[in-house]
Amino acid sequence: MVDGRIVVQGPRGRGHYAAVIAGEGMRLVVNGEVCRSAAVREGDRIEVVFEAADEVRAGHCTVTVSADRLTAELTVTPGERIRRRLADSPFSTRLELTLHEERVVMAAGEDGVRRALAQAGVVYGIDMRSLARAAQATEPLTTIIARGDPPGEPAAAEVVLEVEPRPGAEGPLVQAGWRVATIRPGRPGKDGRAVTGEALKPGGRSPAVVVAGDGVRLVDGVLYAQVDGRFMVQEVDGEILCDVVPLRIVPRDMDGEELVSDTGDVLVRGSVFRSRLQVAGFLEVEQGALQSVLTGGRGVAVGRVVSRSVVQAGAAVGGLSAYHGLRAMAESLETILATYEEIARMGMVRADEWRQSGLRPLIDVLLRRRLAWVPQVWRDTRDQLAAVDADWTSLLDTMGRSVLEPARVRVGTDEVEQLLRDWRRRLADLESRAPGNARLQAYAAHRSRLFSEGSIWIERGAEESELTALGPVASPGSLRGGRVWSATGVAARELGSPMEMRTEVAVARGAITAGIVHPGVTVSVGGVRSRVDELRRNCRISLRDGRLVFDDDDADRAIRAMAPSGWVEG
Amino acid sequence: MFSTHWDEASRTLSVSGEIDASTADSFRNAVLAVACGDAPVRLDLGGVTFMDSTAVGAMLDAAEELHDRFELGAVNERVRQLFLILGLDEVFPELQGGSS
Repeated sequence: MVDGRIVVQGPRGRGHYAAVIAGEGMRLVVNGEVCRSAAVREGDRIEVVFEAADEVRAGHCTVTVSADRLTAELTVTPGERIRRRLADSPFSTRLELTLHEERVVMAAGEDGVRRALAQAGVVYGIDMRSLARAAQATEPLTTIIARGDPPGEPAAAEVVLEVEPRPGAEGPLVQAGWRVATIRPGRPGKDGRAVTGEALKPGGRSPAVVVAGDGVRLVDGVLYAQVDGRFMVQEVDGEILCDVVPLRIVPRDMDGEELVSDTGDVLVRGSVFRSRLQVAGFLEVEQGALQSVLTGGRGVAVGRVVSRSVVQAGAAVGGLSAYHGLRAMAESLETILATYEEIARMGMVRADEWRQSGLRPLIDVLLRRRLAWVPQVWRDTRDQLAAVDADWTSLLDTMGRSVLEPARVRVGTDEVEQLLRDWRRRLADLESRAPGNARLQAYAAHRSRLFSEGSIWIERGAEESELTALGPVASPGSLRGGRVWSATGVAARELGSPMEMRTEVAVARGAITAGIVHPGVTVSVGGVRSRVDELRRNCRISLRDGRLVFDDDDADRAIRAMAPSGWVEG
Repeated sequence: MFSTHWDEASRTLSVSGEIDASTADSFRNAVLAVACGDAPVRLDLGGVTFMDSTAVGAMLDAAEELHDRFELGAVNERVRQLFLILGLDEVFPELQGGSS
C-alpha cells in the first residue's frame, strides 16, 4: 500500500501470486465479483472499495445557572473528527488491507460557547478569559463562565436607649424634653444583578430607616421626647418607628372607680380594687387587680396577682369572651342528637310520639338533669354577646326559641342538626381568626377570666381561671383548675394538680406542651378530647391522623419560645 | 298499655307493660294516687317493657312532686339503660349498680 493505492508486483521466478484479503470496512471486487480474498494475477481487475467515511462526533457545551442566579457554570466537551484511510503496509506476498484512523479534536469555538450562553439566558458578568479558554479547550472542561453582582444587604439602624428600660414592661417612661435615644443610622440595601440580567433585590429585612413618629423630635441623630409618656420603638413596614405614646399615670391604688380612656395608655402605680378600667391603648397595673374588669385595646399587663377579675386584651374580644359558652352550647346540641339516636336504637321511640312531639319530650327530660346547666350558660353567653356580636346573639336566640323554650311543642332532629351546623361553622370561623397583636401579661391569676386577641403570658401560673386567646397561652408556672383555650398553642411547666383539680386545656390547632400533665386533666386538640389518666412529663400533645398523640418534648424550650421579649427566666 | 299492683305493706307500686305518650298522664296519676301523707312510695318498674321520653318525664314529674317520699325500686336492664342514657343516675344513684 502506498498512499492508499495498492501496488502489486508479480511473482518472481516460481513464486506465488500476491493475495489480497479485505479487512473490516473494505469490499474487495475481483473481476466484477465480490470476494473475501483473492490472489492477484496479471490481467485481473482488482477493486478495493473503502466503505467507511469520515466520522464526526459532535462536542457539546452545557451552561448551568445557580439557584441564586449569581453564577453560571460552563461544561465543555470538545467534539472530534475521525478520518480513516487504508493503512500503509510494506511489499509482501500477502497483503492485508487495514484502516488507519486519524482523530482530530474540534474545539467548541467562541460561537459555540456563546450560543450555549444565549440559550441559558446568560447575558451579564461573562468572564471573557474563561470563555476564550473554553472555546479552545481540547479536553473536557468545567469553569465558571459568568458571575453576577450580589445585592448589597442593608445594615439595620440602631436605636440606642438613653433612658432606663423596663424589662418585660411596655417601654420606658419618659417626660417632655428628655433625650430618649441616639440613632445610629443603617445603610440601605443595593440592587444586585443576576447573570441572566435581572435586578436582584436585597433579601434582608433589616430596617435602615428610623422614623420619628408622634411625640418625639429628631435633632442631629438624637431623639427628644415632646410629651410625657411611654417611649415605644417598633418596626412598621420595614422602618423603625419611634413614638412617645401619651400616658396617663394614676399614681395610687384605685378602689371602686371607673376609668375610661379613649386614646393612649394608662399606668396605674398601685393596685386596682373593685374598679372598671377600659383603655384604648395599653393598660398597665403595677400591682394586683381584685374584683375588677380591665380592658386594654393594645394589651394589659398586671404586675402582681389578678384575682376574681376579668381581664381583656384586644379591641374586640366579645366573641372570644363567650367562647366557652358557645362551645358548651354546641356540645349540648350534640348530646341531644346522640341521645336520640341511642334511645331510637334501643327501640324506645314510637312513631306516634315522634310525629306529635319530635325531640321535645327528650329535650325536656335532658334539661331536667343531664343538660340542666344549659339554660344558665345560654343566658350568660347571650348577655356577654349582646352588645358586641349580633350574629351570635341571633343564633343564641334561635337556640333559645327552638330548644330551650318549653312551650314550644315540637322540635325535630332536622332543626337541631341545622342549628348545630350553623354553630359549628361560626365556631370554626372564630377559631380560625388570625391572632392580633394584643398581649395579656400577668404575674398570676386566681379565679379570673382572661381573654386576649393575641397572646397570654402568666408568669407564676393560674388557678381556677379561664384563659382564652387567639394567640399562644404560656406560663413557666402551673395552670391548675379551670379552662384554657388557645387557637394556636399552649405551653406550661405544669397542667392540673396532684389533687386532680378539674382542668381542661384545649387548642384549636397547634399543640399542648407541658413539663408535667397530672392525671385528670382533659386535653383537646382540634376538637379531639382525651382525659389524661397517668402522669406525663415533658410531652407535646398534638393531633396526628385524627388521634391525639403524646410525643416527648422539652417544655422549657416551648415556654421560652412563647415568652414576651425581655423575659428573664427564674 | 300498662297495669299496676299496689302492695300496701311494702308501699310498692308495681307497674308492668308499656308506658308511652298516650298513657303517660295516667301513669303519673297512678303514682301520685297511692301517695298518702308522709308515707313513702316505692315504684317498681321491673315489668315495664317500654317507656318513651314522655313517660320518663311523667315519672320525673311524680318524683319531683313526692320529693323525699319517692323511691325507685326494681327496673329491668332495658329501662335501666334508658335511664342511664338520660342522665337519671344523678337522681337515682341506685341505677349505677345494675338491674335490680
